[in-house]
Amino acid sequence: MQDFKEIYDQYWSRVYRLCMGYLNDAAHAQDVAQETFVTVWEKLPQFRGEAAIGTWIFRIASNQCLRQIERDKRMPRSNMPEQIAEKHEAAPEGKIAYLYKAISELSETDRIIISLELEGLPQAEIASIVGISEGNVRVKIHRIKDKLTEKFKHYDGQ
Amino acid sequence: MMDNNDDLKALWGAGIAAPAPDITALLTRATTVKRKALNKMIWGNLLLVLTSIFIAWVWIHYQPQMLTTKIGIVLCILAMLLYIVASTSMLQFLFRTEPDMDTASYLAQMLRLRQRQEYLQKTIMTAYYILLSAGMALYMIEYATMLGRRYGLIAYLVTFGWIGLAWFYIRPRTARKQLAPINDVIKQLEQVQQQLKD
Repeated sequence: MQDFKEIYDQYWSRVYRLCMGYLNDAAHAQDVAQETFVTVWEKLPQFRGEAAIGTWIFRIASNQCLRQIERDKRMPRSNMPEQIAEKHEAAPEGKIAYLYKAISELSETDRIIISLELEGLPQAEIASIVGISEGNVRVKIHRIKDKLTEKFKHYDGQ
Repeated sequence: MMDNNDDLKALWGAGIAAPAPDITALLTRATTVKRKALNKMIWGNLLLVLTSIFIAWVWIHYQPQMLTTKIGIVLCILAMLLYIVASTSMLQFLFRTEPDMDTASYLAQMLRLRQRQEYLQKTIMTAYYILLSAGMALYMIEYATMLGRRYGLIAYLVTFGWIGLAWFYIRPRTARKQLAPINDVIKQLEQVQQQLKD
């Protein structure tokens, strides 16, 4: 069993990037990343090692992102005063900002798949996180990259 | 122009970083969330206990003679209990999700739970109104008989006028308000699920 602190240090940035890819909103992403680690902390004693710890964490993070579908309907974020104080992350600029924006315009599952791919996860692991076949992951990644390349054709350096 | 896979990866990793929040603060937050959930549960139970005490009190204090009155009280209380159970977090155990499934299974699970919630909300709402109306109708028999035919009739008319208003006007409005967000979520979840099949 890995120590939570160790997991936290090792995975925080990676989970945060996944959340940023999905949400493209620094404060919101930080929030969802935190919720992810709260769940990891709660569930860690029950983790049996059926999947690699990284796969397990990214599954929780992806699901936490998808849960925002329900959150957004129930309570618009502007109604949550506690979030205001947390907006201290530096917003990305230039091409980086454009990439995250382009990703956030994709469909929900595409956002998760491409974020995991860019994070450098093997396609077999992405397949296991998302719950589709490896072949399907490959096809989807190919299509998503085409879409992103197409979007970057309109990048004007802003 | 961006057409290189490595460029995308480099961009992805380059700019975005947020300092990891202090681990103690994170875990304090986790405990607070847990405590809040527990408090909510306790309050829900407290309401149930108070309602039960209220049943006993009405029964002992008023000593109703007719069986219909007693059945009426029980039905009204049942309606109230049902309402409390449905409106507090006590149904939450039905909606507990497993957060570490793969995305496809998780989506299916969320969808199933929301559909169940939609069904329960419709059913509970109807059951609540039926129990309450039937309960009040039965409860009033004993006292309406004492009032005499004319006033008894007026009492019934007023009561059922109100229940009718609630059933035909207030209930559909409340249902729309409660069900609309659930339906939205269901629709969106179905769309997201479809994305994985495309």
